[in-house]
Amino acid sequence: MMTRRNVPWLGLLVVAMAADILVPAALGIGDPPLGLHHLEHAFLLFGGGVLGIAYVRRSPREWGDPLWLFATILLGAAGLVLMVPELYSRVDAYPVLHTLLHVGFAVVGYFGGYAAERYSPRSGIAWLLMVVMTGALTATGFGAPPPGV
Amino acid sequence: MLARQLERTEFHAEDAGLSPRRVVGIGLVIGLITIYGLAMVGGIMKAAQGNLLHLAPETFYALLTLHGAGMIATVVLLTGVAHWYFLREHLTLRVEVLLFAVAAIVWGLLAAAVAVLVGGFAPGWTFLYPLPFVGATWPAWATGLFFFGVLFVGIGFAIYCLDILAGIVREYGSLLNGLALDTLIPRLRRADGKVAPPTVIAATMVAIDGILTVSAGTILVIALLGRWASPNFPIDPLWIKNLTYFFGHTIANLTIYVSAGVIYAVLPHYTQRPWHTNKIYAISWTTSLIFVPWAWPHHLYMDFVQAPWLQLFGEGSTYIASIPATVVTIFGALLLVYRSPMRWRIGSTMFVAGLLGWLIGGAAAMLDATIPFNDVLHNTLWVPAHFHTYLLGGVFLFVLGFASHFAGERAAPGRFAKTAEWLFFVGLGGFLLTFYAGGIEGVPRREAVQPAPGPFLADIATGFVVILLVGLTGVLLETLWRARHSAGQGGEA
Repeated sequence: MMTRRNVPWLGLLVVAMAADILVPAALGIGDPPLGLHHLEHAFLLFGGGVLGIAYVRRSPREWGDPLWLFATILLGAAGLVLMVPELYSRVDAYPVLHTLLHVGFAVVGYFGGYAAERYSPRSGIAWLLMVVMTGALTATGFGAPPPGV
Repeated sequence: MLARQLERTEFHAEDAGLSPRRVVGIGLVIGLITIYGLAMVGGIMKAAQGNLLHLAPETFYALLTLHGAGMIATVVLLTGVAHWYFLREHLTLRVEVLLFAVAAIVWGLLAAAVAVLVGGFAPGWTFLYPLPFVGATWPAWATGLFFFGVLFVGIGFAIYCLDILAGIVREYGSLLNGLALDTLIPRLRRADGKVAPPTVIAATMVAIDGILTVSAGTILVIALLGRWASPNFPIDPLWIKNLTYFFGHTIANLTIYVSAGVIYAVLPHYTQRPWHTNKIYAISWTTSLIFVPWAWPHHLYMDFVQAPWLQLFGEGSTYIASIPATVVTIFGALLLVYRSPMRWRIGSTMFVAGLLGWLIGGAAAMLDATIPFNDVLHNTLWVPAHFHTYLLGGVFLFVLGFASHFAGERAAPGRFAKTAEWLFFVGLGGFLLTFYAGGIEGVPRREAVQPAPGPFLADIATGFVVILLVGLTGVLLETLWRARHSAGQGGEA
């Protein structure tokens, strides 16, 4: 993944993530609807994960400790806890906190991808699979009241 | 720095005397003892429904919760260790990871057991929202502990799946090759011509779908724990019900596919013929990979607010997911057995009989998943009939077959073993028939007190459960006896 050919793509990803984190706060744009907001966070988790995987792949590695698997699972749960909408409503009033929360998603994603890939070469793909699934399912209604309530 | 610290604290199971065989054996013994206990719980519930003994309704529903959740978690544990045992022939898998996975599932089971037996948690394994929180007869701590137990089981299964995915990518280069898609797409072919055997194809499918399922389960449990911690946490009941069935149905369903992986590995030992991969296997298992996670809406046809397209998609997915892998596995197994120098042992008998249970249970499931039939059979005893057929009469038989194989059965079964086997099969068949009869008569499921002819059928079922348990005791004793006598002779036949 960390070949010379991929560097521009990774750069583009970093720019996209930075724009997603910084631009709404700078321009004072309000939050998107809840489902879309979950997807936005999943994107940051995913982007962070890709960067974490790319970092590990700079040099070939052997198997890591099984504890890396635990770290992967726990970071997955941590990402989900960060997605609890009540947390959004508490930090949304403070642009800096809101921005930091988004940075937090990218950081959790980075370490999740790092941990998965550190366990075994190319197992980072499982992390990305988890993040995509989490994003898709949370967008359908995580933390949302029933329609009409 | 974290990496260095982790390397310093690295745990090696073999240094602690935990060889792969021993860890598999530990998982097997814990799982079989748990299943035996939970089967007795099932018998007690049947006796209560038949008025042979009295259980207060809250006790009945607590036992129902324990039986349902416990059986699924235990079957995940048992099929997982069995498949792992054979996958080591093809993949580099680490025993430490299996040990962690087994420990997480066992902790999850213990937490759920305490929540139910001490706390009286009793909303059923589906814990359908808002049931665990509204009108509960149990303390709040029991609700939280049960959800943490579910989370632990999910974590154990996720660790297991992640390690298998890592092993597949390492050995076969990619997950596509793990599904043997290199037999269809020439540019995927490896220079050494190595193609994934059927047992690895099954593992690839299960591990990928397992990750998706556990992701759904984690969201479900975090949402429920959020509601547990804060009554203001908003939850859409339909959303959480969909997620509950996504997780619950799929994880139960996946145990069948794990079992198929065990069959691919073990049946050639008995028939003395190899089980080869071909394009049909690659197509069938890839189809199952795509559609198995989307079959669950067939449980929710009565939810009128559900989008109609989802209901139809669930119906279609049920057919598309189950038929290919089932057909190739059962036909493959029959072709492998036909005119082979088959050695009929307890293990091989269980495997072949299990195929029949898988077929019958699967057909009954598809019937129930067909919307016009579901109008009649929905939430009747037909539902437990079909899943008991493919779990008890399918997956559990594969587990018993594996246990016999693992114990090292060299000689043909004696009179004791044959008698025990027959008692087990007679008990199993009779017990399942009462469920189907109840379904046809419209007896509702999950009820402590059933309308007629429920109690009458429950009385008959109780008798068959006793026969089943006597037979199972004999089969397990025989397996234990063989394990002791083959110790030091190199394991299985």
